[in-house]
Amino acid sequence: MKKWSILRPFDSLKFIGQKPVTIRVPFESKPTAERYRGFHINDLEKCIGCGTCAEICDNDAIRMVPMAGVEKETGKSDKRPAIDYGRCCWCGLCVDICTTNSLGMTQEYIHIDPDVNTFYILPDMEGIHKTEYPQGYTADEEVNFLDLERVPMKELQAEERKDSFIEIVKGFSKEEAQKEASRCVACGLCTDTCPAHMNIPEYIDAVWRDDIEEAGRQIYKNNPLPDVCGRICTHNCETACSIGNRGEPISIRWLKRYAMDAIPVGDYRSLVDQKVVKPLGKNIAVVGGGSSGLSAGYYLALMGYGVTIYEAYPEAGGMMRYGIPEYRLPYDVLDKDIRFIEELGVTIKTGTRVGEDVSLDRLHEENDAVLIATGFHEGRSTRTPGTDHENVYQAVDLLAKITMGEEIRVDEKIVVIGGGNVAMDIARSLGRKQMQKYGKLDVTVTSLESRDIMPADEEEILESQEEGLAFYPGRGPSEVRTADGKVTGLKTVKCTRVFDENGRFSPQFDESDVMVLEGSMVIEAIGQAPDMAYLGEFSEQLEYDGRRLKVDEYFQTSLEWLFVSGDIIKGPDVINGIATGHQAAFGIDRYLQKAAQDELETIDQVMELVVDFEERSTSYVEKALSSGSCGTDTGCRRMLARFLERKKGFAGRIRDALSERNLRIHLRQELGREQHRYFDFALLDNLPEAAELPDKAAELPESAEGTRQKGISEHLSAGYRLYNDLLRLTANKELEFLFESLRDEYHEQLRIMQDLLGI
Amino acid sequence: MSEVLERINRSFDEPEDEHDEVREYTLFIGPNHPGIEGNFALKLSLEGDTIVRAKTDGGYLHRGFEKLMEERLFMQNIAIVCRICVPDPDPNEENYARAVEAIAGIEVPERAKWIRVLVLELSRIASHLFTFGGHAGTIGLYTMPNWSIADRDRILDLFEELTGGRVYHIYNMPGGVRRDFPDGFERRVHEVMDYIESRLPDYDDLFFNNAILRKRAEGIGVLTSDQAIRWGATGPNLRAVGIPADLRRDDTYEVYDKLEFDIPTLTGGDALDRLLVRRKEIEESIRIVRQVVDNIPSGKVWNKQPNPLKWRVPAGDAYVRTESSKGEYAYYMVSDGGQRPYRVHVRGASTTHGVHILENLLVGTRIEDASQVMFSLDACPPEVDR
Ligand SMILES: Cc1cc2nc3c(=O)[nH]c(=O)nc-3n(C[C@H](O)[C@H](O)[C@H](O)COP(=O)(O)OP(=O)(O)OC[C@H]3O[C@@H](n4cnc5c(N)ncnc54)[C@H](O)[C@@H]3O)c2cc1C
Ligand code: SF4
Ligand code: SF4
Repeated sequence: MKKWSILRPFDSLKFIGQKPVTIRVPFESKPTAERYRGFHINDLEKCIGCGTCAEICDNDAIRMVPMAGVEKETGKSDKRPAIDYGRCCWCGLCVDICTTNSLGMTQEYIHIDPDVNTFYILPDMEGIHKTEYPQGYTADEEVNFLDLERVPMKELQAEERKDSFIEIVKGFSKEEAQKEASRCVACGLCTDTCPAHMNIPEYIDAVWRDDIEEAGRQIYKNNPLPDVCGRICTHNCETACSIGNRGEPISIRWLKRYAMDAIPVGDYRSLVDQKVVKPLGKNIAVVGGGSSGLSAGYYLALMGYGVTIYEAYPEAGGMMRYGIPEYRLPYDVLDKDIRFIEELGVTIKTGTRVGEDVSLDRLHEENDAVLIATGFHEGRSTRTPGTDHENVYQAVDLLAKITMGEEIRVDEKIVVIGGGNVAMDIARSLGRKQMQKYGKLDVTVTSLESRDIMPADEEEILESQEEGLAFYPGRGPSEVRTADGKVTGLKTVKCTRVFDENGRFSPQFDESDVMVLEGSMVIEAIGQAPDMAYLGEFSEQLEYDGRRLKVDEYFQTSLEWLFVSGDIIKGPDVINGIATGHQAAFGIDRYLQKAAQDELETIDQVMELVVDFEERSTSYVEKALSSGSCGTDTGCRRMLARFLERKKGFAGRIRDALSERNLRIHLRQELGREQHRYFDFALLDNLPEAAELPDKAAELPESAEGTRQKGISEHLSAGYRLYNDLLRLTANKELEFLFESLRDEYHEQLRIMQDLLGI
Repeated sequence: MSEVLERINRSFDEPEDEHDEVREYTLFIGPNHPGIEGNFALKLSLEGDTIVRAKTDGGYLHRGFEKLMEERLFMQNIAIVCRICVPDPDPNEENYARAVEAIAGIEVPERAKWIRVLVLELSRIASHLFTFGGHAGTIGLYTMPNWSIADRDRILDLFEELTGGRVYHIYNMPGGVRRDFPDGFERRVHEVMDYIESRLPDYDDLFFNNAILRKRAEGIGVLTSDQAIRWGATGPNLRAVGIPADLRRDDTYEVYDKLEFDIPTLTGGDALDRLLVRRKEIEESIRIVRQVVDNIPSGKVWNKQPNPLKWRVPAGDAYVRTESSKGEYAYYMVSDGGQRPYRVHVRGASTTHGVHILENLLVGTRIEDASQVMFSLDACPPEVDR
């Protein structure tokens, strides 16, 4: 360094006249960096409204808001992220975690406006000022916050499995399950798509936290057949999983299986969230012990009803036992679920076919309501010439026989018609039987649908191929060939289209393209139909919607004591069976509660209802609080706690309002000395018999009646305020279901009370 | 009239010690003043122009970072730690990332380590440039801040290109860094380094060899080596008393052990030498930055970490330290095995400099030098408040 002096700074005079370094904008514009983190943009078409961006945001700057013109669909919510630039710190974490890569940032960073509302935007691709600023910070494949790859599931290899009915899938270890669970971003799109609206993110989170009991509790809330569903559910949820947009969806089904496998069956009882409320002294008959009948039975038992399930087969389980092969769903797993339902007090009468062993009419007479959930058990025929031959079988019949351990015919060459899961099940089952009998396998599967539109699950088809089944897709059966009275094969022709332009089933064939598939046994597996002969004369009294029974949203038929669920109304799969069973149970409860309410005559009865309701809802809410349904949402917790507090006094307040003493005080205060003198308190001595209240009220002097009504209506309006709180609470996803029921009840009770008191 | 005169005369007659009470008076400076990078107040007791006692009064920038970190997911915190020090944010990111990595046993790709060094050194240069401007301001030299802060902008341009943000980079994170170099970045780093280097002689003319600075800063706020050690000075403040302590050497991290650089020291221990040590450090940082861009290995810049929304860091604790532009900057982090840090303690280098040492050094200093002494210690109040 040169020596210092007072003159040294004057060297800087050389800069005079040069361009100042300090001045840039607006005289000289500098291009913004390509990855600048400026205002957000969002491709609203691509965005699925999963809210993961809002979750990661460290400043709570993102709100998921409903957006006009956007509707819920599979894997998409009806909300989109809106950003509050009063909070945003432009960290871009939201961009790095976006599940669809729809969110990005621009190079634009200036916004000046006196109106603070303009700092809160719902970004689209045009950016804050609709100026199409160049894109800035975008997601980077290398630095990707999400875990896009599944933990692989261990399975039996084709060679090990193709000659046995041992379960193929081995299940996760604890470490694998936790790793898989940790991939979940808890967006809840799966819950929306699940027919039973299971609390999926909640149980996945519990698996991740290794709180298996909590996982079980969450699972049992909406699914009384979780061991089954953990294995063979059609897992619509995984189709909706937001992680599936950039990677492989979470293995939701296997996580459920892991949780349930980890809980000993003896512990199920402690998991059930709602306690069995006091027995209501009412009985329900359920026809059919499949997934739907069992689900309805479970929920009805929890509500305090006496439930008897009538099942034609020797064991309960329906298609889960007599359809789905053991290598996919072992019977002991199914038994685990069914045993627990029985433990709750559901009676299952097996080997009892309604319509033959007992009539529907009798069930109607002996019970307060009847649910029919008899499923689809009649195999449908292709009506191909020759299918009436005795060596042409229906898949479902054979599958049932395999389950029951009956001897079935197994030939060396077998042809299966059908491209769905049932076809795969029978083909693979017969393949196993062939392996056991002949040591080799020869099953040919043919379907109308070409390979790309075969309705069976992709993994089913791939596994079948691994096991050595031959596929001839895109062919229609035209004749079962026979020689000397024996089946020799199936003649098929090329199928040129399955559906018409409108997507209706309308197959067309190219008769010149013929192929004969050899086999001495032909199996039809193209679908099933219901057998509802047991309806008998009721079938004429019922209303129909096309071929299906007409039902309302609670699955109540036009005969008000008769409810329907399962395959015969919606599906066909196990989870829809469970969901419709749950909903029908709810409908039955609603129907019977209403009947009970119609019978209310005295204020004692009203009070009983109010107290019962209070007990029930208090326990619901306490459970909701303790089971952490609110998660970390403190607002939700506070709301619940407040509700609980106010609710606790509700019945008491109503009771008080209606008590004699209170009415007396009221009247004394309100009437004033003068009128009070004329008021005959003897009138009230028979209270509390509310049925007489209106009459008595009529006898009251003018103003006294007015006051009395005012007192009561004030208390009722307190009830309405609570009811409004409930409405607000229902905005919370987890509680929606719970409070819908509470709200209905509230509504109903208030109405009844008003009716009763003539207000 | 005579009555008034009489009273005045009487007042002269009164014994001297009756004035004792007013000999010492109290003066507040701050919280807004040019003595420091951010809001901070001083309560000075003076006799005449000389400070006899000084009491610091912080808290104006307290935003509760340590507490906020306990409320946020491990990955979310990367967005807030940088805010603990505006002029030199990157040591925060570095410490945070390394603390998590130490507890969770996370490996960092080699390339990311080199990039981290680059970022830290750029941040050091930027911070020193900022300090030069500030220091000059305290003695009325207002051209220097215009120059050095404008030149600092060139470094911010590099940050903008690399990280997407100019001041808060939110770039360093557990497992590596968030993005690789953009195309042609190495070249532009060289250009900016060449430019900054070419500016140093200009700075010397204007500021470091300006008689005004020399006369005003020499011998002001002298810290002896003994005091420096006793009071916990680190960084340039310690090196200005002749002690070549530097964590990049003494407790090396990332790839500093693979790089050549010197640790400049001076012996005066006064405001001037503290400033001049920083001036020399810029040259060393430029050396390091050039080595990084010339020798950086290729490879990935981040090792995949679990989904940040479901990420638990195993229970454990770690104390990690970084040589920031201000000195020894450390984080002590405790994880209880949860999704959020159980506790993060931030040991800002400025805590010792800006409170304890400052309170001591100001005693005996004249009021007009108070700001300069403060700035010469280069304390950053949010590091004290955090
Ligand atoms: C081969 C096959 C594989 C399948 N694989 C899957 C799968 O992987 N995943 C999936 O989700 N779904 C699968 N399904 C569909 C699923 O099994 C059904 O959708 C589901 O079981 C329907 O439940 P449900 O209660 O409505 O009827 P069902 O399960 O069919 O139960 C009805 C019950 O009612 C009984 N019943 C009928 N009539 C009477 C009567 N008159 N008196 C007394 N009892 C009567 C029947 O014996 C039966 O037990 C499969 C179906 C089949 C056939
Ligand atoms: S994370 Fe992406 S896809 Fe999900 S809501 Fe946000 S912007 Fe949309
Ligand atoms: S940039 Fe950061 S602060 Fe802003 S909305 Fe995204 S995550 Fe939140």
